[in-house]
Amino acid sequence: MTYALASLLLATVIGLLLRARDGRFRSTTARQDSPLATWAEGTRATFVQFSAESCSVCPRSLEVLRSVAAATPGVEVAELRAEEHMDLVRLLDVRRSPTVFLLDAEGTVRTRSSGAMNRELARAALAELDERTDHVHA
Amino acid sequence: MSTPEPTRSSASVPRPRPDGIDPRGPRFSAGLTAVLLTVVLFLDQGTPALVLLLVVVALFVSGVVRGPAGSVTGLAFRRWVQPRLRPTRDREDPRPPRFAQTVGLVITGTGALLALIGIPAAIPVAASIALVAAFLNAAFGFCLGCEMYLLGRRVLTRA
Repeated sequence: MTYALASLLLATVIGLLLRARDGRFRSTTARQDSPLATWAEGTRATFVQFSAESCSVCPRSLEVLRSVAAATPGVEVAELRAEEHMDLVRLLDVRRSPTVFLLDAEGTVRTRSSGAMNRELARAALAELDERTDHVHA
Repeated sequence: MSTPEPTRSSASVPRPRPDGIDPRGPRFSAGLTAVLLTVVLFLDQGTPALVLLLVVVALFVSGVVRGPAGSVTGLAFRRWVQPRLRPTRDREDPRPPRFAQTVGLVITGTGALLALIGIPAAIPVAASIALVAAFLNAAFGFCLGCEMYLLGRRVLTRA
């Protein structure tokens, strides 16, 4: 009885926390190297998504990114299979799939997010990237 | 670290994807599993609890062996639930839910085994862990086992 209630309560809390966190981009600590620069194809920005075979939301997440990129000039999307890039997974501390990195035109990681992606969050991340870039150049 | 080679295998070669399944199927299965596990927890540590836990183990075995579409709960979904739902064109890769079934099998199977060799307290412990995972899947669409996959792989392949 107590076990059942405790489990359901715990699961609800975890679920609500994950839902609130999913897809939100946060800034990353600046690093000197740009380990994902090889995939930076966008002249303005590139979304790099790490997908895993065991990830049910990854294909949908990638579709969202592709449709946002298709509607935004200079933005490209790359997908990496996490299983084939375990060195990068470790280097960038990827824990969940999907994990999405937003690169600027130079290929530097600017922000990252994990969990299911949605259109609004992807657009907002691009807008924020542009804002910061303008600020730097001004 | 050496610079990553510019292989674009992931981007250019589409992965061979098995036929998609209705994503509501695995969620229905998870809901059913969550209900059964809740009953197990109400039964506590006796023989009835162990028997019902073994039923859940058997359901997970069918999910691992036959995949989410051919499992007992998957077939039940197709036969009795899907016809009552609105048709959807949404399709999901069946491999992630199958992986989740494997995680569920390991958790509940370990609990049942420990109970069989004389540690009945393992029943509520295993059922609780599995219930958290099943409820997250049914209610929120989160696959906890799948989310843990990368972390597990990082730990296991630590050089």
